[in-house]
Amino acid sequence: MKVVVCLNRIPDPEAPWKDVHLNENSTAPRLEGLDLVMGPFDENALEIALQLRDSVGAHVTALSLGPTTNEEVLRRALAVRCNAAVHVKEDRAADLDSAATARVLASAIRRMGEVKLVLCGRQVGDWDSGQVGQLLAEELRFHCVTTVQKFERVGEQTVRLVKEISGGSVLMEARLPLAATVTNTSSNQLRVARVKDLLAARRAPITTWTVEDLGLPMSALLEREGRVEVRRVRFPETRSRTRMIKTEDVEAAVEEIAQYILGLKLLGEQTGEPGGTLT
Amino acid sequence: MNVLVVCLAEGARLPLSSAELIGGARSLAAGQGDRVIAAVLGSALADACGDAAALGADVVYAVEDDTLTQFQADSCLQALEGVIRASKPSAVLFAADDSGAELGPRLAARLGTGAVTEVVGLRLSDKEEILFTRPVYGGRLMAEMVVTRHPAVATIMGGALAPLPRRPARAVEIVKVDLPETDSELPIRVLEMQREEGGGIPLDTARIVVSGGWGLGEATNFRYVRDLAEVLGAAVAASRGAVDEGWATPGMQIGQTGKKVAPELYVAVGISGASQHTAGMSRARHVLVINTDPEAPFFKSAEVGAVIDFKKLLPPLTARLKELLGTSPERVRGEAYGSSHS
Repeated sequence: MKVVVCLNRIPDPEAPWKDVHLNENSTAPRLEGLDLVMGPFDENALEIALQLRDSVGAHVTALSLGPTTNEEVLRRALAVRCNAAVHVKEDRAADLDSAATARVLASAIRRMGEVKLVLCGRQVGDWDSGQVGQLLAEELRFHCVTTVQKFERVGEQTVRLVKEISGGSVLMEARLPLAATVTNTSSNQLRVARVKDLLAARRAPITTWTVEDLGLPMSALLEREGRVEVRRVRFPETRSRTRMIKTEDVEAAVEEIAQYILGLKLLGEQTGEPGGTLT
Repeated sequence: MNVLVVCLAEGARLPLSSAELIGGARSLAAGQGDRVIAAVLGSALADACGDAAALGADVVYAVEDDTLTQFQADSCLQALEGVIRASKPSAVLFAADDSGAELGPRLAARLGTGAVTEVVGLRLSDKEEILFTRPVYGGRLMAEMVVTRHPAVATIMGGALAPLPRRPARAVEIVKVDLPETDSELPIRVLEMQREEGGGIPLDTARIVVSGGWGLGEATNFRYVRDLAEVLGAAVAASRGAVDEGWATPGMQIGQTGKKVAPELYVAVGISGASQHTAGMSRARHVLVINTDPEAPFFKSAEVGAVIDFKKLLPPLTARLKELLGTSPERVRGEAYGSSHS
């Protein structure tokens, strides 16, 4: 069975931002100097793909759309022993909206032929749109399941899988071909590469295509075909002042905090009004 | 403009998210003759359609089918395509929940348009475009986005829009929609549902959330957090550090890789406040941070910060609140709308 796992390279979501500025039009941050890593949920998707290779001998291709430097995530995928890697090389990939991204990835997947299962992270961890997996299902006319934790049984026609839902999970059987988005759970943390494989991955071949190779003109995808536009980004307002309670007198602190909580008037009355307001 | 809101019934009633969507849709459909259209999906919908009307919808399309509640996204999409052909809305709003997250983008693809997800605010521009605001880069930035095709599709976070006052006697047009007959096998078969143990107050709709982190030191110390939560009628949550340690279940995790909540009050105990975590709670209105490390970044976004050992602070605080509050009825956002969280 042929499996494709889509991988992206993003600024490390765990790393603090210092001196990050916006671009000229204030439509995106300037990312120079930030550490780039594989999307956290992409790692989970990759691990699931590797588990399918181990259990049912799936042929796993790692696929990434992005600039030359995205090669790094493909090397990492090869180091944990993906069977093949395809890089759709495009410097302006970050300017594509989710629909255009999905069209490019779908074209690449169609070109690979006979793919039964496509895996993506639940969301990519930078713009966090969480759309590409679902859009790939629509582009490829595959079935679709979101927020998958693991696969339990993989057959010719169907897969048995666990999907995370709010407050629990669902065991379900889904028909192939399938596009699935993957969420993080204890069983799909990405394994560590062996040194021998790391060395081999450096020399392993990576198939490289351009967006044009796939029959899609980049300029049209960026303009005429665009569906969602970023008008501007801004830094969120921060809280102006924090009331700090630093005291050795625990009793006084207890009283101050208790009165603070009661003063919010959240307790005792039933309003049914919604909580959050817009920031 | 006419705005369609997608309401998935929970049991026989509509959840609070539907009330919020209808309220928000009304703010867009404010011109003369503009209509708020509710597509109500589920099984046994008589009460849910009444809810949609009472909450402010002008027209209700009712799609009644047992498969719609069994994760059959394809059936939902077919139904919605039919409703959209009939009602021609300028915008389609979903709740940013499990089903909205899947259906929104897929519906947009089928309609040849785009979707904006996890929206926390919306407004009309001078040019009558809808400007959607959403956090990006783990809440480090806010982005304002538009959909350049019609209709605009969006998924909206809980608490972002305000419901209208309920008007129970409101009579509206209700249109029944049948799903097209199909012989093809359903693509998904549900074998078993597993609810996370613990139950308690659901995080998504809680007005108060008490959250514990790695600073608790060990699993048994989570009881301090639980005790305080109980007195406050709050939901219990955790940081990724605490989940990684196995002190809390993944379903309790708040953050960029967990749940995103917008309670009135968020109490953080032993959580440093890395952006990975705050991405999940940045829309809380009030934030109380308890941490022994005065340098913890969380204090910067707190309304009140206490640099005190939780073991010394929480037991007397819990006792004092219990004393001040007397009995503590359940205080859950959304109860008033009859949502059934099982």
